[in-house]
Amino acid sequence: MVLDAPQRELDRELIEACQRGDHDAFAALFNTHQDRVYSIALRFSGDPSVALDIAQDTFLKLLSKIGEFRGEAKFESWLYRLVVNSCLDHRRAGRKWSPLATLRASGDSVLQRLLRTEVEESVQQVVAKLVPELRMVVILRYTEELSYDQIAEILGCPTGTVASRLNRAHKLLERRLRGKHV
Amino acid sequence: MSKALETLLHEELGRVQSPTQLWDRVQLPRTPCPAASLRLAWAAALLVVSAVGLHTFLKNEAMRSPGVVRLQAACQLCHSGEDLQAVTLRGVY
Repeated sequence: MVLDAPQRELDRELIEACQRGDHDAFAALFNTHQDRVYSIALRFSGDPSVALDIAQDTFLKLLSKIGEFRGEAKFESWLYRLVVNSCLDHRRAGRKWSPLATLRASGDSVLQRLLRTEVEESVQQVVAKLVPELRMVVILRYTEELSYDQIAEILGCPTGTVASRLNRAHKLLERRLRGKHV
Repeated sequence: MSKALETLLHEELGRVQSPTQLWDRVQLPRTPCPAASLRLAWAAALLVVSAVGLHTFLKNEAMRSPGVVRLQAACQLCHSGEDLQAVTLRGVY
């Protein structure tokens, strides 16, 4: 997936320590995965405050369920499933999500940042209009750069379903972004 | 799908840095919630009431036992009119 072998080994040790109730291990696990969790939440919700809620829920679930993790699946897949479920739970809770504001903290100039923000907002708004199952596939593909097989494992659906959802999403995005940035 | 769209999505939907307040928010629920404190207070109160009740019951049982009554009656022969409850109880316990 995204993590290399030494990182995975480190994760395994941290998970075992976390299961024994080691708070420092949880902090280390949090540091390793916080950007991943928050990014998915933000790209899915389009709202930084909602993304914080989702990320918080995800880490609290991780803390309460870490004892149930037996290592049959990869930890990252397990964590991705927690984030995906938190995103969908928040969506079902019926909160209205607003399009996202400025996100990227970079060393760009003010003008570059303004231009980038405009493009980013535009793309985010178009992605936000996708139905949740298409949006999640797009986010896992482009935010996390996961393969079709990995997305299928996380979402618990066949690889063919992932491919067809991505295909549908691409067509919609292309049509909606045509003339703007594509 | 066009290459341009793929590039655009990779660039614009990339990972972002999580805000620092996320850790604080994950930490907060570690403090006991009001409901848990309330349950703890109820349990403590119930324990105190049970202890007091049991103590009173045992004390009354001791007072009612035939041995104590006979002892008090014997003592009253020499100490009539005196309060012998404390003395006899100490003797029984």
